[in-house]
Amino acid sequence: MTNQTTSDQELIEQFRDPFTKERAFESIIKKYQERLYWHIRRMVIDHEDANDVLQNMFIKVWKSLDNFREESQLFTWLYRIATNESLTFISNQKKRKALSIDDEDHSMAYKLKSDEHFDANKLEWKLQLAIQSLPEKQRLVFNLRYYDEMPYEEMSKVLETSTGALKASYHHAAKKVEEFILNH
Amino acid sequence: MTILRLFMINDPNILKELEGISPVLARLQGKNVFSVPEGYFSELPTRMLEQARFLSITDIEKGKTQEVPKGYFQNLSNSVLHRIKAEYANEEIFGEERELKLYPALGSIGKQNIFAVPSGYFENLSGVILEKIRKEKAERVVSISSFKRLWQYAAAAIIVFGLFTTSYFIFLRPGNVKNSFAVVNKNTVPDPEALKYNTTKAFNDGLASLSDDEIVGYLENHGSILDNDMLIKNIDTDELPDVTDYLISDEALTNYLNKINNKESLKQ
Repeated sequence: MTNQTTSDQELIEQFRDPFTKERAFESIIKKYQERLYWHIRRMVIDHEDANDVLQNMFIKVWKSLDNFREESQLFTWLYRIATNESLTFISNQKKRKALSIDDEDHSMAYKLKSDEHFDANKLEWKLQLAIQSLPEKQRLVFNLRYYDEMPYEEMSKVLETSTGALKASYHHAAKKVEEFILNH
Repeated sequence: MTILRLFMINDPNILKELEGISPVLARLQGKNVFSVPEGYFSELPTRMLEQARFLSITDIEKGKTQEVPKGYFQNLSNSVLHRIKAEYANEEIFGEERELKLYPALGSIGKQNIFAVPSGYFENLSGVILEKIRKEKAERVVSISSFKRLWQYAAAAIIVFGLFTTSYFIFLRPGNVKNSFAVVNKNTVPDPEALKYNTTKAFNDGLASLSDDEIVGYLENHGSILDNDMLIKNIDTDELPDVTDYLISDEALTNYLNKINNKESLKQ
């Protein structure tokens, strides 16, 4: 029986064994679902969208984990899939938006403002609006550093970008977020 | 929907870094604004597993479901024939026997080919084709070489023509070679010999009397005195035939020269 202390390496081995495959998959989901969900949710905003992206990414994990070459950690690999899936989702939404007459319906800021709890006067909502105003890459970097407290080295593997570029990106992002909060 | 956990920066290094960039953000550690349905995370693994099981049954493991038994394709034709034979088994006929029964006239004719080919035709065919290809290539090379040679003469003629029609007063002088027309130097004094060629017709006749060797010899010995600017000024490039014209017609250069001659005649 797998448990919380089972290492990623053991989970991968169990996944590759047909007799323990499902149990290992379940354990991987339990272990990482929340972190991955929030990573995705902060990018796509809406819960239903985040749920779709998360499920799609886990389906991809099921399909591909047998071939995972273990050149990176499982956690990094999962983050990379989640990031790619989120960006693909956003990109597809933008394409649909380009075809749509009502652009506003699909914007992240609009989604935020549509939330039943949205309160423009509260700082935490302003922070989210500020983050949504960032370019996608900066938004990813900011979220991974600010919320997930991910070391730059790890982030570098997830986003396939140099640590120097990530530091610069985080710096710019934090400055922009601060400016947004102070001016709104 | 339920609001979850507070976001706090726990890593002192990350907090210190943020304080350095933006003290406002470093102090801003509030609650999560996003909410998720009650029990979402507790139910997710089970739901995902159900999806994975369903997809396993259908097409998620495409690599495996698309695998074919060893030797499948090698035996496919036999299998298909076997099945077809089995379908006709009730009739207990197949192939020629079936044809004979269904189309007695065709069946009785048999399948002997009535068309004959020369002996050894198919054995030699590839060699014949290859030989034709080689021959065609060789002809093309010869044709291109001839064209290049023609072009060299044409270019030389144009240069000489332009040079002489525009500057014979400064270049021409008599000499000791067999054709006085070809003898020029930088002498700026008009030469009585050169004055013989003061019309286009006289010039063309003079040019025609030159041998290729004389033209080439002149260009080799006096190339340095060719004034590019003068040549450019006196050759109307707009009227020059296009390079592609030479490729499609050997007459292009002749037509061009005739055109110039006509113009000169009109001037006179």
